[in-house]
Amino acid sequence: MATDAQTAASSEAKSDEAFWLGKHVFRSRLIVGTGKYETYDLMRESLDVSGTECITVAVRREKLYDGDGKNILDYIDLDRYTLLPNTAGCYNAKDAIRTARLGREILLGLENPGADWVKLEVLGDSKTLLPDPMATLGATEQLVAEGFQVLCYTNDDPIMAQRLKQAGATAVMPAGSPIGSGQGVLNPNNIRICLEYLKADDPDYPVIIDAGVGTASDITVAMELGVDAVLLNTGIAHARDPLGMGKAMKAACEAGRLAYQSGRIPKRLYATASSPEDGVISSRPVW
Amino acid sequence: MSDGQKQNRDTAGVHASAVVFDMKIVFNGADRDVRDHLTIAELLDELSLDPKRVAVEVNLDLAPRDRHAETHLHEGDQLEVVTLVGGG
Repeated sequence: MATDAQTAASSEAKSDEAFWLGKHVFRSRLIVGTGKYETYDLMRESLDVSGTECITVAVRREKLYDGDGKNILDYIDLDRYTLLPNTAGCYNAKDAIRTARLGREILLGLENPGADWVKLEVLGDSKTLLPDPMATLGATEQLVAEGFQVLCYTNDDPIMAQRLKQAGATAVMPAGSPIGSGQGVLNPNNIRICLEYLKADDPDYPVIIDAGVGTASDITVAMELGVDAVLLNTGIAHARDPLGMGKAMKAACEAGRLAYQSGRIPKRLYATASSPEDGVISSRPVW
Repeated sequence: MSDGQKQNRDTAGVHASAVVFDMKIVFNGADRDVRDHLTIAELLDELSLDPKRVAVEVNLDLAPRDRHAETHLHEGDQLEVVTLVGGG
């Protein structure tokens, strides 16, 4: 029987395990976006308390006449964070591929390890920001051929998830619910099937919930399903107190991971008493 | 950004009164007059852009950083000069 010390050590090891995502390894299982913060200082502090080691960034035209001339890179410690450039805002494979190449070029200039990957988003519609599955698959094939590690934003369709993995995606990242909607994981059953299919012969294949996180419990639910990590942005950036929410998200992620690894009890229709049935001084009612 | 930099950006391509703007390119979607046969490296320098923080595309093809100094621009070239911003 395990001693308390052994049990404690084992729990600690679980919560502190390495998370391999392609060629990168992290301790934190949160990937946090850098958009929508009120100030760059608030962004920097929120990222800090969230414990993340991997942050997403977008690629946009250089604005020559940008007011105060502040650059987000002045607020990011490039030795601490692995940057994950995205192709957000692209509505066809061609533009997403161009954006991925441009992002890689910038990260090469910054000498950041994130130069070898991309968060691929090819959107189908600006109202839902749902992915265009056909264009996403085409862009994945092309970018994999160009040597990118492709982390693929997709819907929660298990068949599409398999197609993306077969196309060489480094990770499949189903949306919990639409981007920025804060609705959490709307279809946990589809996520379960995605996990079962993608990890069947490959238990370490990374599956990440990308989008839809509104509050801490959404992350815990996702992690308890067995996903490897969660990617979020608005849930922290637009919280009333982003610093408090950043801490909550960190705790929620760790709690969900530990609960998943520790094995929840099965759900039952009827109660099972926690106190002994034997030796009770009361008699049971007879109906 | 300092006033000097702002001024520099406003008048990119002008170093002396003798300089002639005899070439038109499209820079991030807007027409821009620049010196004939300007290189990408010269353009970024005149716009006070740190080449390590931007990526450049000419006519839809990436222009790698290590070739900026030898890549000359031509009349009608379409340039995209991008950097990183916050995003999810």
